[in-house]
Amino acid sequence: MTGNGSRYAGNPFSPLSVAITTDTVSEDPTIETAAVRRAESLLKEYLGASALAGAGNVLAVSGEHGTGKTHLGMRLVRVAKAADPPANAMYLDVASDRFTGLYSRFIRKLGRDGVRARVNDFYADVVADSLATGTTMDIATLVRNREVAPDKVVGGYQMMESALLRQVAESLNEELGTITEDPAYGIALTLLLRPGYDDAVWDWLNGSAPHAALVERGITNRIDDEVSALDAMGVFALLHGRKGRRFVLVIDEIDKILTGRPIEMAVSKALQRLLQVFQQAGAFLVLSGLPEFRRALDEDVRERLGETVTMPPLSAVDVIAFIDRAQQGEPDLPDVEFQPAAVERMVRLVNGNPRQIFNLCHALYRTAVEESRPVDTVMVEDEVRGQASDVTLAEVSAAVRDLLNRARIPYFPGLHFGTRNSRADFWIETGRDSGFAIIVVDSVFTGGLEGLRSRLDAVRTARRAVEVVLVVANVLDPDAAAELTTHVVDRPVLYDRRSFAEALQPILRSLAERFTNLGGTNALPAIREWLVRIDMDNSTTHQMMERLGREIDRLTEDTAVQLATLRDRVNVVNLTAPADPAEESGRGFPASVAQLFHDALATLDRFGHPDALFDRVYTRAEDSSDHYRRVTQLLNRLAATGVYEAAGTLSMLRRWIVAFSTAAASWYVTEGRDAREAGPARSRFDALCRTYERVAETMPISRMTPLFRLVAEGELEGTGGRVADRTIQERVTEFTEQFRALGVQVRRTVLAELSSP
Amino acid sequence: MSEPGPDGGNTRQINPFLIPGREDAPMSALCPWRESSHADLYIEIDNYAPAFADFQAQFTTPSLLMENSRLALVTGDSGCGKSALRNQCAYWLSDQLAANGMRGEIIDLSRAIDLADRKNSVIDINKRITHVATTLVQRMARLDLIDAETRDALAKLPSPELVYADLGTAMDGKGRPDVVLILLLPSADLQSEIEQYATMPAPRVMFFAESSYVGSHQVTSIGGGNDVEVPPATMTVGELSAEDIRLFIETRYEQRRNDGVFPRLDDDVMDLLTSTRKTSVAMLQDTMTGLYNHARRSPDNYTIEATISAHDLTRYSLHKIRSMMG
Repeated sequence: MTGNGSRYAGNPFSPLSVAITTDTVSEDPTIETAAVRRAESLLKEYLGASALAGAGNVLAVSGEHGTGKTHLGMRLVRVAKAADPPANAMYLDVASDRFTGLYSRFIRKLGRDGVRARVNDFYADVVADSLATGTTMDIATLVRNREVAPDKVVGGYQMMESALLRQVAESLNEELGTITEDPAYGIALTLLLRPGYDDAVWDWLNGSAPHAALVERGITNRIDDEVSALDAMGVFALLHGRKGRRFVLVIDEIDKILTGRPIEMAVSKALQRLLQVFQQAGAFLVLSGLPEFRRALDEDVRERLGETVTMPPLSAVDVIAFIDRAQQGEPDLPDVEFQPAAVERMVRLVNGNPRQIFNLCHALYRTAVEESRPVDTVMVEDEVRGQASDVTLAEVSAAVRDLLNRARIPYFPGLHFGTRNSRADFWIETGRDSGFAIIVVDSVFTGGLEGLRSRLDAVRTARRAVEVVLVVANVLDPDAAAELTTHVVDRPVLYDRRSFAEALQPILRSLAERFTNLGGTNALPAIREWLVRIDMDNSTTHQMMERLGREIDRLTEDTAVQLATLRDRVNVVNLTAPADPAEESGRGFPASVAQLFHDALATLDRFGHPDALFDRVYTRAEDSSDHYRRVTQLLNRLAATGVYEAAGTLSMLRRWIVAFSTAAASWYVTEGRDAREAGPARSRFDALCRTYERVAETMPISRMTPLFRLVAEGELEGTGGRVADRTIQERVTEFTEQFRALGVQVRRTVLAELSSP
Repeated sequence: MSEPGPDGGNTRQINPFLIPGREDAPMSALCPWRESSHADLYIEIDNYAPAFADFQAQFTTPSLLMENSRLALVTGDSGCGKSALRNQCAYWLSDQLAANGMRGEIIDLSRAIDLADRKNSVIDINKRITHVATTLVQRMARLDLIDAETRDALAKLPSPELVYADLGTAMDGKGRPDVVLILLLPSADLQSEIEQYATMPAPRVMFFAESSYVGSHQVTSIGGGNDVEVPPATMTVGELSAEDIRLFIETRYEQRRNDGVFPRLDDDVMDLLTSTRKTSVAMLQDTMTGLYNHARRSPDNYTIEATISAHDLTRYSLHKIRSMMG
C-alpha cells in the first residue's frame, strides 16, 4: 500500500514505523510480502464464501518483533470492513497478561449498543416469526429484513412481549448451548431488551458482581476469571457470526497472555472451546504474536488453529517493490533512485526487519533529496549506523559485567596484552596461559573490518589458548560476521536489551565446557562451578530482584529531579508565553501538548503511586498489636512477587515520559518555528517521536499489574475488599493505551499547532 | 345533535371498538371500579368466564378477609387481558364486601414501580416490596384512611411486613373498622415476589397480583407447606382462538349497535383476522380501533350498509407501517 497525497510532509515514506492502532489514522505502509498476501487471500476467501456455516477460520500469524504483524492485523481489519457487504471486524491488541484483560477490552469495544444490536437480531427473528401469518405478513418481512426495529413493532402492534422475550431467551440459550450450559447469558442478554435492566446487565457483562435483581433471576456468577472471560468471548463471537454474518477478530500480541506462565488446564480448554466457536459460528479469528505463542498452546488447542502465516524478514525484491509503489503514489515529490545494491545492503543489515526498513526509507529519501544523489550503499551504512547508535558501549559492558558477577566468574576488566590494539574488555583466565576474552564493539560493517581483525588477532595470539567472544552493541553486518568466522569461534552476539543474558549465557557455557575438555589447567573445579552457576542464573530471579532494587533506588531519586525538569520545561514555557499570540508560535510550548504529558503522568500517578497507602501507615501509627499486624500485612503484600519489579518499571516509564516531554519542549522552543514545512527541524521532531514509539513498544507495561493492584486495594483500605482482576486490567489497559498513543498524539498535536494560523 | 338510527340508535359515525369514556386511550384496560359502564363491556373470550367464575367461587365469604389477607394472581402474556380481569374481580369483590356491610377500598399501586421510564433502573424484590408499602401508606393518608401521625409512624417501621401487619389497627384508629384494602400490585416477574405477598401477615388486605412471567401452576404450590391458610386464587388468560376473535368483534358490534353507525367487516377480512396466529386481546383491540379510525377518514363510506374490505385492511396496514417507519 502506498501513500496518497503528501501525507508525510514531503516524503513518500511514513516517518512513523509503528503500526497505528486506531481506525482514524490512515498511515499504512504495509509491504506486501507473500505472507501478507496469503493472509489476505485466506481472509478474502472467507469473506467471499457463499455459505459460512462451519467455514470459520482461525489463522495464526507468527513473527518476531518488528516483522509487521500489527500492520498485517490492522490491514486485515480494514480489508474486512471494506468488503461488500462490510464485515464486522475488530482489532484487539493485548495489553495485559490475562484473558480477563483481553475480554475487558473486547466487551468495551463491542459497546453496549453493539451487544444490544446482536440481541435485537434474535428478537427481530422471533418477532418476524410471530407476525408471519394473516394481516401482519408485510410487517413481518420488514422486521425480518431489519428495516424496522422489533421493539417498535412489538409496541406498535401491542404484541405479546412477554411471550416473545421468553422465546428470545430460549432461542439464545439453545444457540449458546455449544459454548456454555450456563443459562445466565440467555437470561441477561434478554433482559437488555427490557427497560430498566440496561445498567445491571452491562455492568455484569463487564465483570461486576451481578446486581441483586440479576441474582434473583438466577445469574450468580461473575465474568472475572480467565475461563469465564473466554466463554463470554465465545458467546459474543457466536452472536456476531450467526446467520451468515461475517465477523473478523484480530487478537494481536497474544504471546503476552500465553507465554511466561503455565496455562491452567481449564483455561486451555476454554481457549479450545473459543476456537471451536469461531469455526462453528463461521467467524474469522486471527491470533498474532511472537513464534513462542504457538509453542505455548496445548496440542488440542494447536489442532484448532488453521493455517499459520509466518512473517518472514523482507527480501530485497519486496523492498524494491515497496519503494517503487510509495514513490509512484507521490508523483509530485522528487523521484529518488534507490540503487539495487543499496536496497540489498539495507535488507541485509537489518535482517529484513520491516520496521527498520520503514525508518531507513524515510531517512534515506530525505538525505538523497537534500544531497541530490541516489541512495547508495555508503548512504545506507551511514544511516543504519546513525539510527542504531542508541546503545552505548557502557551499557553493553555493564550488562556483560552483571552477568559475569552473577555467575561469580572472576575476570579482568579492560586488559591490554602488550599492544594498544590488544585490549580485551573482559579477560577470564582459565589457566596460566589460557582464557577467553570478551570484546565489545559498537557496530561491525564490512567496510571497517581491518582494525577489528587485527585486534582480534592480537588478543587471540596473546596467550597459548584464547577464545574470543565478540559482542556488538548496535549493527552487525551479516556479511562482516561471515568474514569473521576465522577469528571468533562463535557467531558474534548482537546486543538486545530484551534477551542479552539468554544470548550470552549459552556461549559462556560452551566456552567453559570447551576449556574443561582441553584439560591442562588447574582451574577445572572452578570452571565447573561457573557452569553450575550459569545454569542456576537461568532459573533464578534473585539477582534480578537485587539489581532492580538498586535500580529503583536510583530512579526514585531521579524522578523528583525529572518532575522538576518537566515542570520547568513545560509549565514555564507556557507561563511565560508572550501576551501577543502572534509571537507565541515560536516560543510557548502549546498547552494542548503539555496536557498530553500531564495526563499520561497523572494516569501513572493515579494508578501506580502507593503514597496514600504508605501515609496511612504513619498517620494511624499507634503502639498496638493491631497496628503492627497491619504493617506486617502491608509489608507482606509489598514483598509479593512482582511489586518491586513493577515499581521499577513504573519509574522507568515515568522517566521516559518526562524525557520525551523535555526533548519535545526543547525542540519546540528552539526549532518549532522552522518546522512548519518539511525540513531538518521537522525531521528532528519526527525522530523524537519515533524514538519514543520504540520505547513505548518495548516497555513491559503489563508488569505494573501487581503495583496497580496494590494501589487499587489501598483505595479500598478499611472495607477489606479485594479489587477485581477486571478493574486492574482496565487500569493497565487505560495506561497502556495512553502511553502508547502518546507519540502519535504529540506529533499530531504539535503539527496541528504549527499549522494553525 | 345525533339523529335516531336503526333500532332507536343514532346516526353518529362511531368507532365501535373505542371504550366509551376512554376514547382518548383505546388501549387502556377495562376498569369497572372506575367506570361502572365498563362492566357491561366484558366479553367471554379466551378463559375469561371460567376464570372469573373460579374467583367468585373462592370469595363467597368475603368477611374472612377481616381476619386474614388473601392473594389473587392473574397470569398470562402481555396484552392478554390480565389487568381487565383483575379490575373486574376487584370490582366484584368490593361489591361483595359492601353487600356484607364492609367497604372495599381499591388502591391501584400497579404503577408504583415504573420501569417503562428509562430513567428508572431495576431494583430487587425487597426494595420493590418496600417501595410499594411506602407508596401505599402515603395513598392511605391521602384517602383519609389513616391520619398523618400514623402515616409517619408506619413509615418508620423497619420492614414492609410490619407495615402490613399494622394496617388494620391503623385504620381502626382513624375510625375505619369496616374497610378492607384491595391492593392492585405492580406486575411481578418472579414467583418469589408473589410468594412474599401471599405469605404476608396482613389482615384486611386483599392483594391482586399479575404476572406475565410466572405460571399460575408455580404459585399454586404456595400453601402446600402450610405457608398460608388459604392458597392464592389463580387465574390465567391467554391468546385468542379464531372463535374468540370472531366473538370479540361481533359482540362489540352488538354492544354498540345503538350508539351510532359503523360499517362491518366483510367475510374476507374476518377470515384474515381469524387466521392470524398468536393474537392477544390487546393486539386485536389495537387492530380494530386503528382500522375503524382509518376507515372513518372516508365518511361517505362509513355507513351501516358499507363493509370494510380486504383492500381497506391492506391500505390501513400500509398506513400503519408507514407511520411506524417514520
